[in-house]
Amino acid sequence: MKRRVDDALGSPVLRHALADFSARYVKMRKAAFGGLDFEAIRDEVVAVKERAISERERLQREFAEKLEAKGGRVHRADDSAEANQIIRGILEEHGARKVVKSKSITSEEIRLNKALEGAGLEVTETDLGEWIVQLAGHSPSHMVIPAIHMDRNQIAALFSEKLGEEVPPDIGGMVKLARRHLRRALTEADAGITGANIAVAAAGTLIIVTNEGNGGLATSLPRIHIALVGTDKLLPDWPSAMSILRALPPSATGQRMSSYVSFLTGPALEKQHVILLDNGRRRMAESPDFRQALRCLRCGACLNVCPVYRIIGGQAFSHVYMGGIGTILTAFIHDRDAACELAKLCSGCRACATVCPAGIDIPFLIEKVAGLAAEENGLGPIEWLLLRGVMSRRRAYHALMTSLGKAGGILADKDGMLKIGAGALPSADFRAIPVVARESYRSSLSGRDAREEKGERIIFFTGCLADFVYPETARAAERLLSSVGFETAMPTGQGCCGLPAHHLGDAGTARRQAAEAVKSLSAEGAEPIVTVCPTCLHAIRSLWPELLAGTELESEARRIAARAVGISSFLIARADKLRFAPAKQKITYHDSCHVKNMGEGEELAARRLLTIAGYELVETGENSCCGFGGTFSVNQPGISEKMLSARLDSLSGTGASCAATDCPGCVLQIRGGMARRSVRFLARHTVEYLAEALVDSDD
Amino acid sequence: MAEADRIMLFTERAKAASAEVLGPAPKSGLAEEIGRALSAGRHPRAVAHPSLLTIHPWLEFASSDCDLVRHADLGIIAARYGIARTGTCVYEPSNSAERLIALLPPTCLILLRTADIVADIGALAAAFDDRHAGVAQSLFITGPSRTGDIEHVLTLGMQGPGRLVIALWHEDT
Repeated sequence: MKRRVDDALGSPVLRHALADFSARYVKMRKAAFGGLDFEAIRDEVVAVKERAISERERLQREFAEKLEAKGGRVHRADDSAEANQIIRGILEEHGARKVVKSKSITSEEIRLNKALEGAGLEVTETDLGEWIVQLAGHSPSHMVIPAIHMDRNQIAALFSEKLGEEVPPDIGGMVKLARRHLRRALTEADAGITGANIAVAAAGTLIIVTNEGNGGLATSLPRIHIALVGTDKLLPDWPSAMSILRALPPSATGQRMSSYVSFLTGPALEKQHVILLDNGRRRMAESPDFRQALRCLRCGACLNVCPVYRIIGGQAFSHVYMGGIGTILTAFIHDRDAACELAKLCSGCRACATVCPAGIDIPFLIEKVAGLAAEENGLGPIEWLLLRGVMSRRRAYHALMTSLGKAGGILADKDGMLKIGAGALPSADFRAIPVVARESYRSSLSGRDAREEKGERIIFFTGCLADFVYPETARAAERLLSSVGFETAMPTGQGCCGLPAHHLGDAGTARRQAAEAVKSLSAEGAEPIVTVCPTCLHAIRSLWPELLAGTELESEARRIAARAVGISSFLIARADKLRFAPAKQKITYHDSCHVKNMGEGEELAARRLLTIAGYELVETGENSCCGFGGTFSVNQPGISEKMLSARLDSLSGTGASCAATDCPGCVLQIRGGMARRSVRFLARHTVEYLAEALVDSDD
Repeated sequence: MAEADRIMLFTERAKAASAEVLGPAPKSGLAEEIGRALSAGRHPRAVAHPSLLTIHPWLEFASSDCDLVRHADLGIIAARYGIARTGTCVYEPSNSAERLIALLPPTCLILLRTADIVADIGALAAAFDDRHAGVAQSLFITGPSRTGDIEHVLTLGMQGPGRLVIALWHEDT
């Protein structure tokens, strides 16, 4: 995998194309869903697909019965080999030699082209992007836009070589040329092979969605139509089909509706054969965790917003199904070991979960895939040492951090960054690493008894970075909370939230950490739990109840989840009590992934607070991920570096000399990257800027 | 949503999907309207869905012959429904040659009665349930054939028609 990732990182064409498409997609998707309630549409898709998964056996029977009554024939294939054998048999039986295909990712899944060409058949892909990658001998790099990795010059050179005529790099001209070639292939073909986006059991109807119209042509011109359909595409009736059609085009291509939606019931000309393919889908349906992945519409929305995909593209995944959902599908359909490797490409940003029209918790399932690897192969030595040896033993972990803090002076350069780096870990040297603070936030509290303080009380869950590396963040938060009338209490039993361990597939360690934290917080009453770390907030809200489900701590974990709140949301509700001396400084804001993808408006609250404090807020054009992702930036330094570089460019491009963010992890990444660039640009937590402008009530 | 609003929304959304929209015109004035719009391009070889001959007697040509359709410059069909929110025409051919009228010629003309425009795709589900047979070979058409497969540059006419003209009409009053 490393070689493929390195190849992708070395391709500026790919990176430019992906970044350009990704930025455009976000706007187009938003416009296409304009005026609609996306959450309601998503809920409907979830309900429709869940029903279809529960009734999958009945739907297969009903579909077959209805289609065969219309003159079609239904076959069932358990796996790729059987599906290929059936399709070859059908073509042989009807004396077909020339085959055209309309884009079908399910046919890629079974490597159909290879099987047919091996049997001496002439196969032509008719979707332009698929045809380009077929001519080039490449694998598709996107589920919807297969040739996204090639630019017009590369395609013109390819056409010139393969079609035997000089083709200039003019897109309109190349499209006309392709139309001519593909129209000939379509008219001369004996058989058209397609997939289907939907199969309606009640009517025996296939629904094929395309923009070019090749789905309609490949099923109407050749005398034989063969459709390869995953059993997950079956739906009970028309209303359920319409629910999917409402969600699919905006999610796939940012269109309200694709140009052509073809309904096919029975043979258009002589014969129609439909192969219902299982290939791991039954196993997925039977898994309580992974069943939800069968809701996937193959729209590719998760790829389009994935900050890692937009750097490395789909070919680096080396399997048909790419990106986050690809990692999950690959584990069941192709190769579990390969999927476990792919899981390491996830930065855990959760952008995919926000756009998935089928409500699949993709990041959670990727962590489950990582967990399968850890269960079967054990943790790597570094992960074992870090997670089991250090972080799972809270007291030992904190003692180590305290010792590192004491040694910080020796290890630090003049900016407080670790002196070693380039020599020891060249691949990770794209950003400077801060040393542990001389005095942690928790150490600074010793001797103070919060319970004797006046005012209402909140429980402060600092997270590791604000406790040990950036205690100034925790102190700023404490000061702001005090200003709005709250005294902070930090239960010293709090340790790591468990999210890093869970992300690396070590659910056991994560569960222990969650249990310890829940016990520590449950002893503290019913006050709000405020945190300055969005990753911890996500862990408290979602991960702890999930990890502790079925244990005696489950109900307590749910109560604690309901009490947790981010610092900016907490403060904005009490902003009338904050007094600022207007800061009058130009500042930009970096959206942490866990802030913006939690969908709670924490980033909006932070922006409003900064404005109230008198800062002149300037926005970056696009709010992309900084590439931190906790352990991701250590495991995937090459990708992390490219993500960081793009983000630093956009932050610097605002003309501001400092950035606020609500995530200590992003502070670490951005500050470290700017230090390597030797640029005077300060990145700090929002609360530090607010505290700087704060006028204390007794001033 | 009132019919006038559905017509307005349909027109806006169909145009946003790169279709040309004519009318609404009364049935008796439709031929003239279409003649004006298509006169800019010559379409000596036009084919139409056979049912249109009875609905619109001014049409003089119709064919379900695949070879004729294959070599035509203009395909003329009637939509059974329009979907306002997406600017979509719902065509219900009964065989593959009729389907190809909408897909093979470089220009496609769709006649759509304004009373047949529904607000949203959800409104079709009930209609489909009542008319299983009618919808068996449906084709939803939203703008002309398109691709963005090369550098995401929108290019029309990749496989099907590069020009889509929708003529809205209503019964004479």
